Amino acid sequence: MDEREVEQVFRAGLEAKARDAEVTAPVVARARAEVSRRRRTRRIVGTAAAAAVVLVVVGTAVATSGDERSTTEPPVVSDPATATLPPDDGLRTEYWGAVAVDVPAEWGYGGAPLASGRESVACYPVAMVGPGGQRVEGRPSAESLGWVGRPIAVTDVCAVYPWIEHSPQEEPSAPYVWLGAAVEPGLVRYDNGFVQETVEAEDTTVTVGSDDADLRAAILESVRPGHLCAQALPHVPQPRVGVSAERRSKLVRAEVCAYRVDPRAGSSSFLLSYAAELDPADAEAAFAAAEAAPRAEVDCDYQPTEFVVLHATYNDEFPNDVIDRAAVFETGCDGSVTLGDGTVRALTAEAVAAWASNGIPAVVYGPTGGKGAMIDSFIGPQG
Amino acid sequence: MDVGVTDRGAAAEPGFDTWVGARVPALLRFAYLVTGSQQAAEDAVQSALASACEKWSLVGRRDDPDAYVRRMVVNAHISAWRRTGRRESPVADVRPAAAADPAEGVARHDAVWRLCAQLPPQQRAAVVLRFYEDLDDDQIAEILGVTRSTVRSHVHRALTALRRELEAAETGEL
Repeated sequence: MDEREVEQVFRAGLEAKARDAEVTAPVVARARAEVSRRRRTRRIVGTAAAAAVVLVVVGTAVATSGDERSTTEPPVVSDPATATLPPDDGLRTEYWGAVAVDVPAEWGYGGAPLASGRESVACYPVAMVGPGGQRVEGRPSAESLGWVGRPIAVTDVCAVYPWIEHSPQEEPSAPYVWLGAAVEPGLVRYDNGFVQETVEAEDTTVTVGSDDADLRAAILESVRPGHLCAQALPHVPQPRVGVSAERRSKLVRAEVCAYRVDPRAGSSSFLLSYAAELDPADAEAAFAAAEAAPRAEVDCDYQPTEFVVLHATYNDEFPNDVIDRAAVFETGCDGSVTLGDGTVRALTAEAVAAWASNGIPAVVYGPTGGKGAMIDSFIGPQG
Repeated sequence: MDVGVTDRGAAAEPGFDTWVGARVPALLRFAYLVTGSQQAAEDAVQSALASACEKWSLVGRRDDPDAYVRRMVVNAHISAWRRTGRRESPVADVRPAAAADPAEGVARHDAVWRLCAQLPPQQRAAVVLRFYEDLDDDQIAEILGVTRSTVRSHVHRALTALRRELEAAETGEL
């Protein structure tokens, strides 16, 4: 039986089976009902929160006392769509905890307000890393590039939030999205036309700042539960080798998942801080480099605060299953990689280079003491 | 002080109604082949249409909204597959290999469906997009968010498996 004949069997079989589908099911009506229910939920929650907003406005007088800026409560995204908006057409998806949001692909990465004692600081609220992971040099480019900010100190230079009066931050020059920032839900209007809108979603906050109302709306409408990587982990996981390394066939999907200690009070788990799909070739290169690295010799007694999981899914040799593979990269102390067979390898630049790009250099701290070959792969030492 | 509550998306954008009315039957057939069950197909299409309706200002600007929504259907199904433990892809109406029906065509259709039921969801979607929707590698890669080589691998492996099954059936090994 030649290939064309097999293809024809496939076509005829699928065509025949497709006729079994019931195509009069009222899915459009159900979809409309689902959309209406979401909107009702948003309106109800938004209205109910209005009283609390008054208190927030009073309590944040520094931020909102000007006539030109005001704070209101926007709708809470309480039931976002479960289907994902594909990150194409110039978009990419960013993750924080359980939330995902689509942003323009050309945006970089920077800081967002994080709780620090009794105040919030953003370190620093501009694009400090470009979309590919390269450092952004020079003020003009840093201040014109949109960015995704997380509540992580990317530098030791910080700006107090709410912004100090007459500070440069009072006139935003580039659009931004903040994930998990220490910002109250509501609107902040700036004198130069920028509007900052913060909503609650998936037990965190999503903030969008822009002078483009359509862009703000499109970004906020994309807020949804994340589907890539576990959203939180109770402890540093043990990597897996899968049922059989020998049965690994084609690598069909790879993802890099960064975690850090959940900054919220009372939590001892690790929160997803960054997630991205990884090119299969890069994933294979990272696994190979990690396996080739020398065994870790430095035994640090420390409490991990962050780690990165490289996870890959392979087709089984038999087409009825998938095989998982993972490695856990710890960047604390001198850095190490725990492989699926239980061995612990030293962290090397080669094992890091394949995945420490895009947002990683603005989200994950590097090994303490600094390692020259990896200095551009991570946030790096500060102070 | 502006105290208005923003209600973005009070109604679907113009164009959604026109588009969706013509596309639902095809989407349901596609979802049925991808998911393997009527219920899962309806759930996936409903989820995709709800998202498309809310995001029509973005989706409707595309040259081919169908591809966008088909991808949503696939993603919804893969997400559901993962949530339910990866092995609960329904296998509806799969007859055993030695079916009582003597008609060769029916036996071959059964073999196709039985094979589809065994495929991981992404590979199954690639097969459906190739042999039911007649899309090329680039189009399938775009919808699934994978490389062309991954698409080719998915399809080639499925063809190999089906040939093996058909040949085994013909020689009476099944």
